[in-house]
Amino acid sequence: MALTVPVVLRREPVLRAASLVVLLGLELAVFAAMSPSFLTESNVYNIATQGTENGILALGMAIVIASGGIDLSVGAILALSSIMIGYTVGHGLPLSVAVAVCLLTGLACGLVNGLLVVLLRLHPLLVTLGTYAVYQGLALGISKGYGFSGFPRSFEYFGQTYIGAVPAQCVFWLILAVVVYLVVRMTPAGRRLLAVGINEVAARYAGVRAGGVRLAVYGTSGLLAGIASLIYSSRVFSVRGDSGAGLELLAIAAVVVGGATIRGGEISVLRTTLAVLVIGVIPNGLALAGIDTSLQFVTIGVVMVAAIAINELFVRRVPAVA
Amino acid sequence: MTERTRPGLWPAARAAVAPAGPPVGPAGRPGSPPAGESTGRRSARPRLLVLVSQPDAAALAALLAATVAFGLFARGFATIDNFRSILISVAIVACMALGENLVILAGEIDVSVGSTLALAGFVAGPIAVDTDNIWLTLAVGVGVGLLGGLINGLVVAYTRVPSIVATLGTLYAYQGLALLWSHSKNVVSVPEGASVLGAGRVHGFPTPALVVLVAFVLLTLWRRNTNVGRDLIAVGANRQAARTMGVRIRAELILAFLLCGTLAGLAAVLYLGEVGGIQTSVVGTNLVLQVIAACAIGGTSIQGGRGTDLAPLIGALLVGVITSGVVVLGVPGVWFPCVYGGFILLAVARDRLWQPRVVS
Repeated sequence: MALTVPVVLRREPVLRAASLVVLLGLELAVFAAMSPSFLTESNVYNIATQGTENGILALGMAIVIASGGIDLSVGAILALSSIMIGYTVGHGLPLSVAVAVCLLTGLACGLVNGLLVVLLRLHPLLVTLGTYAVYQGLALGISKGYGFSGFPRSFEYFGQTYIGAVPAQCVFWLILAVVVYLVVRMTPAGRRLLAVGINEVAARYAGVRAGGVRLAVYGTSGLLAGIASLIYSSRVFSVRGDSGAGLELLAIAAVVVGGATIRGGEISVLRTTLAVLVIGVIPNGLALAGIDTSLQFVTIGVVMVAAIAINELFVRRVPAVA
Repeated sequence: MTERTRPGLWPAARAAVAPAGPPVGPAGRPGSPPAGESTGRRSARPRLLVLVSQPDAAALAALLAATVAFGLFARGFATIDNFRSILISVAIVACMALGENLVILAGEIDVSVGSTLALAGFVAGPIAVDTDNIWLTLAVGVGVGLLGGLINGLVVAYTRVPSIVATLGTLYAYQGLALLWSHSKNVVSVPEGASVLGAGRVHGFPTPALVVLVAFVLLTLWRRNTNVGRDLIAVGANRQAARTMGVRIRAELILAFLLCGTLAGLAAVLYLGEVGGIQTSVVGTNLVLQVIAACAIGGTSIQGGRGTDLAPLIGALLVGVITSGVVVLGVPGVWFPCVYGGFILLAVARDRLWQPRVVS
């Protein structure tokens, strides 16, 4: 099926990606000038490893937002999945089973979101607000509020090892980003995703099963949250029922700074990934420069507003039905 | 067309705020605002049906049912002390939800209220500790909240940035400012004089609940008796139509966000009094989700244009009653979020199952 993208949007991506690169370059220059230990190999890897979880969550969020929805529950899914790893390992099952359980938990949580959105035709903001609390509650309830840290050494593989000279999780992140990019750009599934996001009714008339697309979208988001939780638990090497709080908003922030409209129908894996770095550099750079790290929130807010403003200036969008 | 001094000129909005208002014409075109009291209703319909079809009726029924059920089956639930502690526990969320409800009615959303509360609390907190003067604390807290809300309103009204994104930005900005202002130190031991609003009792009735009640009454009076107040729901129901009728969309939006921030500032003052301080850990995202949940559970449609002023209070109370009942029944505290999330889902599912389908 042919899907025509408005001309402005086709011309703009380069400009918009470039503006993010400039922003990132500016941040790097400023922080490097403020602290000599900022632009060292180990610190760059540090930023990348800490950005990985948010980067993977943001990939899922980008897909959800492109479909015209939103997923507030990813932070809670991350918490629940990581608790499930601890629970499984704690009951003496092998690590491979725990990993499978973790990923399946993420997928199942995402599918539940999708089913509720599709079957009950509810607003995704409310559905995922509700499931956020449910998953968070399950995570706390299953763990009885205690943390778990008795992982075997082999669990370090996902978040503390290096492939060549590069941290393993950054490789995973890159692979996932490339996969999402290819699926979105090259496959009919990707075009169906954007079609539903741009105009669901029109997409349905064009033969797209919008419900199926939405189900897949939330399932993917959940699965990616499961993968992120695997990497997170392995990096931190201890899990708690309340880990991952606030990550959903950070993921949304990344997608938005990446220039995708929250109204759906747009996705850019490259820009979302760049935006994760733009946001991820801030706390690290401020900490190394010896500045009060509470400034990071102000900076993230300012960067967000700036990125959106640039976006609105460069891209004359079709005015929303206001 | 822009002159609309007579209240009767806006029947839909009037019907929306007055339960037994005059009959209004048939519904608009298919796909227009969600069906509810703002669309057609024959005057012959009995008054009871009109009441039952109010957006907050189901939540009210659930609130009564839950209270009665827990009162019958949970030993120790139906005591004056317990009701008092429920009222205290929901006052802060209810206060914020009153403001959030206005924003949601106008078809927008404000996710920054938690950060606004933190900012107002951290600015007003030291003043409360130093001066022990409730009026000064109140003025500063409410003033900071008002300013935060005003900024949100201006951004949403004058840029094309969707409110969820704009307020996500200010969420981080206010959060950071709160931490900066406080130097990441908790405010502790607010003296008695400055905490009367949050911790006081009026003939045994908790003051924070009284404050929320007063705020609710004032809001309701404003929403029922002024054109600006009545038009708010029209902005959320059908913005195009509202504009055509001469409603000043921008002014309505700015006002909604401003009131939302102001009430978050008021909630901060209540918080300072009730908790006796404010911790940097408050600077989180949890509070805003509770606030939005209270509005949704109470029956205000998240898409805007449908709901009542009472809804956020009912929603907050329902959550408080359920939580308290579950505690009395002996369920471990770690399961609360689960129960809570189930309620949100039930509430929104009810909204979908009970309402006539909107043609899409």
